[in-house]
Amino acid sequence: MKKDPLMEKAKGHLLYAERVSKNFPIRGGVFSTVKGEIKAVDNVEFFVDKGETLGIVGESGCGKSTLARLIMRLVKPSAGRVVFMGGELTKYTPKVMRDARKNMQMVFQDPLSSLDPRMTIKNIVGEPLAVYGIARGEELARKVLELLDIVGLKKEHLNRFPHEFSGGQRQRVNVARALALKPTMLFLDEPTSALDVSVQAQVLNLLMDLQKQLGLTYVFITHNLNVIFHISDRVAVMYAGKLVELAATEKLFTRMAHPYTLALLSAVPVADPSVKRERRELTGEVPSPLNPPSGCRFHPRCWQRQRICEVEEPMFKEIDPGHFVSCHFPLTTGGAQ
Amino acid sequence: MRIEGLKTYFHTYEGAVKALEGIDIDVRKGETMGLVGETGCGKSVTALTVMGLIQKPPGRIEAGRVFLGEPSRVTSLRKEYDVKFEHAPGDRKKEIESIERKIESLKGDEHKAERAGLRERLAALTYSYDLLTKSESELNEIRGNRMSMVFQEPMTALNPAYTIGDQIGETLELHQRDKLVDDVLRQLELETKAFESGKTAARKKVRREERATESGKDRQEREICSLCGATARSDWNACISCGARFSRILPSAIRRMFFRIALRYYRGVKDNPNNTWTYLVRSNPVTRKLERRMYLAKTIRAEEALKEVKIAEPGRVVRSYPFELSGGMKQRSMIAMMMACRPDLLIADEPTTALDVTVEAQILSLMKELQRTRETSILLITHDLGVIAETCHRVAVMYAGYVAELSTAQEIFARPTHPYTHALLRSIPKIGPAHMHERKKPLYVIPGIVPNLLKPPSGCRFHPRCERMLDVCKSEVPPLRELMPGHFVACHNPVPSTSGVRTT
Repeated sequence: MKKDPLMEKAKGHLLYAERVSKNFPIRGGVFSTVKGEIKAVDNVEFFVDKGETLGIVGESGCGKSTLARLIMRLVKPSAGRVVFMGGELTKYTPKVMRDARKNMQMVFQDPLSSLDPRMTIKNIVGEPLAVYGIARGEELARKVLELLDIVGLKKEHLNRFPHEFSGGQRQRVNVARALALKPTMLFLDEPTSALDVSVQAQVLNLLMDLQKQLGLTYVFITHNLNVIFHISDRVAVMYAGKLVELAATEKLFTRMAHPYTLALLSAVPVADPSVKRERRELTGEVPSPLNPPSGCRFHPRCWQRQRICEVEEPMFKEIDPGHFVSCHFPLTTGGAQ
Repeated sequence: MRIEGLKTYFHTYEGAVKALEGIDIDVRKGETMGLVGETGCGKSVTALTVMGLIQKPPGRIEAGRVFLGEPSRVTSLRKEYDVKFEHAPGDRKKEIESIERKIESLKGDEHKAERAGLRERLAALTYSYDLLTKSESELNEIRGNRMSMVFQEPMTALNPAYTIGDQIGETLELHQRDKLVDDVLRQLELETKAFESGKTAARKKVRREERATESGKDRQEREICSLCGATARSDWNACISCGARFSRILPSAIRRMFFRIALRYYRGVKDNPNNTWTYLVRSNPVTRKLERRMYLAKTIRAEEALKEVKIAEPGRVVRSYPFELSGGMKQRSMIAMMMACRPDLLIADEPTTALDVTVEAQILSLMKELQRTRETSILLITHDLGVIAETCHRVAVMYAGYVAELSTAQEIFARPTHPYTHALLRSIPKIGPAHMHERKKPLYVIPGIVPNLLKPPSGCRFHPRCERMLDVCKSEVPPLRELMPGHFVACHNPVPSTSGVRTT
């Protein structure tokens, strides 16, 4: 039997996504024909190793969340293949997919709206267990208690409703629910964005503890660069539906190669007035995914664009071991920050 | 602006929520004052109280005063009087009456200086700069004109049913109607002159050169005057640079009559905005058309205001509805609206929280620049310590309705002395190559949660979560005292300055 090149590539990685795209069609007119396409995610390729944290950063509308949803198969990719734990997710039937999702769970941004206000914590956390028929009755109650213990909630919280909790506690409930099926991988979609800094610190500590204890793999999606810097091993930067740079955190923050990464990092307000930095301020707006610029999607805002950037789309290539960039003229100085 | 001992409670069925417990903050001219704290610490309530936007009931301002634009001489006089009349409110009334009598007796130009001095005394006695004593209609004069507010969520703060131009224009019409009328009159006179001179020109359509914008290619056409080549706005009847009249279809006699009516109407408005005749013209559905020139003047002024906040294509944005704009553009329009009347004080309530970092950087530098050129004071409310560090001159850290610490930004970040500030700074994840070794380590966590303001803790409200708690903290509210010059702290046991945290 001929070997599948994708499977070869995916060997040794927990998850491998090959040239994944998602186009949302825009319908209109009399017969609701397809008028255009929103390229939410375009030819994205990356892998995740077991036990690591991959951070995905980017501005709103760049396709971060869609990417996570694609891999969870909450939306079906238009093109591309995803291999997870040695099986090709994109070929799974819904029934098989249901089983596969046991191993990949998601925590959403808004802790309140992702919890059913009419269910008690006991039911919320126990629901996945009941749905998959893993536990019932006494055992279910015991397991829920265990889970609450893991995330630092107490027994008396069992019969309360989500509205009775603070933001940090609600996010703990969300994490407990995601952990119920003992997944190997967690997608965290902006888990701390709605929280105050002191609560954010609690939740981040909890997540780091859990990773150590249970050997979890995280895909951490956020626009908060401080958090990404603190928690992830590798960081992927997205811009207008494309991955522009992917590297180990140390490397990305010291020797970034894509101009957009430099601009993004220099825009972060630093909590120290004594630091005076040179800021690379971007002009203009994020391009509309409906009608993205030709060539490199960043070129209208890039300060070192050349003729070729307007015409040819740069490849996502490896410039250093483990350091991927899609730019015709990657920065060599690493943007002296 | 100066806030003194402000107390705002919300009276609910469960009891009084003590949102503000006597805070003192001053914002100097041309300075940015940061207000930082966690959710529910009273940052926004402070802003709303100052703006007079607290809903009453359930809200009630229990005590305190907010002074806007009070001269320093009046402030010191007021303080003198406050000490003098502390126990004798009846004497204060007598003093007011005697000064009023004196002012009336001193007439003529030779007593001008003396009268001004007495007026200052009167202002100090009657707290005439205090916003909280003002009536709703007086506040309407001040709000949007001398102080304005930028809200967190630009989408909900803008009205979705009106264009950006309409919304900026509304502010202008409320506070700067006379300026608009002047604009209209100038334009009318120009057009009349062009009409009399008989010089005519045609509108010429030219294609604007194609340029790549962020939203694809822009291929707009514009019209120019065929004589001199200046831009010919579609709503003008004459060229502003060469004074030529654009050809009209209407016969000239009728045209002339229209000009006369319009001129007469607008001169009438200028003399007395509320006279009966202009009111009748305005309210009549047929003659109301005359007001259209007002609308055009508003749009032009709005476009200028948008240009000042460096929005791309202001001409298009004026005619857009909020949903057509991106978050950054909406926030820029909000700032344009708020700055249109050149206020003395701008209150920005989390202006960048809903925006991305790159857009946030743009908005913050815009606000800084506007402040430099206009000498506006800004009260910036945010929970992001990074934003505070980058933009503010001075910072007040709030906790559960109190000001915990107030000092210059440099001081706060280099030598935080209140345990809460200290803990807050330690709990943010640090960024940058200098912090490589701190990555993945557990972050510092402030134990416990923000107290319920229905039943706040006794004494210092931070004591249940404080590492440096003493017995006195449980019973006594620490006063805000000056630890070092300009550095105020409300704490019985402040963190010694040697153990400052480095935040970078």
